[in-house]
Amino acid sequence: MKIIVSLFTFLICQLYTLAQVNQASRYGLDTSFLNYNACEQGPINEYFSYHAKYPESAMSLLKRVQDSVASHPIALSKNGFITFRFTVNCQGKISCFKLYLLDENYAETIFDKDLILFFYDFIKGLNGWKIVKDKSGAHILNYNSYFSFQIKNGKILSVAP
Amino acid sequence: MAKYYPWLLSLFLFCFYYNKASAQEVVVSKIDCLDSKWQERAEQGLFHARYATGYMSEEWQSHCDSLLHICPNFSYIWEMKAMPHIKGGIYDFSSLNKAVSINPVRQLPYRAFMKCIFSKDYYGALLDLDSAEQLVHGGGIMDHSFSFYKGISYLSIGKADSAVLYLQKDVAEQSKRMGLGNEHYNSLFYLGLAHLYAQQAKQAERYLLASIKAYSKFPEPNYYLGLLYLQKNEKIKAKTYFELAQSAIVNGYNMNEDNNIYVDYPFQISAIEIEQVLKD
Repeated sequence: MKIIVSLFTFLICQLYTLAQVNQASRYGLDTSFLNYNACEQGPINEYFSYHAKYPESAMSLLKRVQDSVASHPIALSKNGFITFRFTVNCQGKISCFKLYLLDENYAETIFDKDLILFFYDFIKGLNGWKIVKDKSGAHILNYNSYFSFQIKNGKILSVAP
Repeated sequence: MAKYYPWLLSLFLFCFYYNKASAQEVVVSKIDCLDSKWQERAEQGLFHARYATGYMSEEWQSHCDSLLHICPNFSYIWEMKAMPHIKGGIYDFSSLNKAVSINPVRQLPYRAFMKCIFSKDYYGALLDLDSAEQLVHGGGIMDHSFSFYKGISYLSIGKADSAVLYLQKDVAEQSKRMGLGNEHYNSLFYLGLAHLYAQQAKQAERYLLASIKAYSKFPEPNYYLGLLYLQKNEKIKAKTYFELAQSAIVNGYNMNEDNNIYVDYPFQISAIEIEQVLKD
């Protein structure tokens, strides 16, 4: 009986530890580390470890992306979250994309390819990434960052972080 | 006899692993998951793991999994398992939902906060905040009341009148508890902003100025007060406040919210907006 209970508990734990699926390859995003190769190798930490949130506010980015989508023939017909994670390298270039797509109830879903590529191009057009050095100032570090776009009722409601 | 060897071997292996599993269970069964000392130890372990491996690591997840294997109903560990994903933009709320199902009084406010500030799911946050209010009347999370988060959620979805009501409640509660003039500058700022969006210029000016009085280097109320004066065609006053906001940002002042390092709060500005408005 104990074995059955343990097995059941283990299975429940596994159910809750399922990671979300990275869909970058499905949409043809740059998943390579090619930009990373231009830099010194080393551990890659998150942007917040270096106070390296993108220097333009989420509100300003939201306004820009809302203005941009208005001039594109793209339908925002589905509610949900489109999140791109990526690595910023020593030259402020980004690559190694990961893509997570969720509906408004946080269940995995898919979106139209045109919409994904619209946001992808928007992110690739951002060139104000902070260059991060280590404590000695001698080495430039790579770091991970992300952008998430929320679509609600036919509008882009928010940008994070 | 040889044909019985596979059966004997299977029996041997079953007995071996069953005894081993039972031995582990004896150790585990000595732990009382509801014992506050054990919970404190587990939380300390997480604190150390955070500095040893960082919470964005696989090791952090494994550490949480081990603790959950021992005490699957320890809601704080489920919270800690969820937190790094959500802070990293992967809005996997499944672990946090589990935490809420175990301990809604503690975890529902946290989930509301994560939805409001991190995933910016303002509609979801409002639902959670309503439920949290029923469980913990007049409660709060991360230094602010539920009314504060309701107010900024309503403001973010364009319902300025509702935002004013909740942010007034937030400020009034603080005035009553701590005395007039001691309200949090972020509460005063968002109340001023809600009035501004509700086209109530006089009240907007009053609360934005009160926020600046509480924290003079606070960029946002200076910026939005500049916008208010610009609307009233008081260009010199507007420029003064835009420049104050610009100087504050250049010198590293911000909202002073702990989670600001990860994510912008609603209506937060950067130097770019101020440069733009000064240029115009």
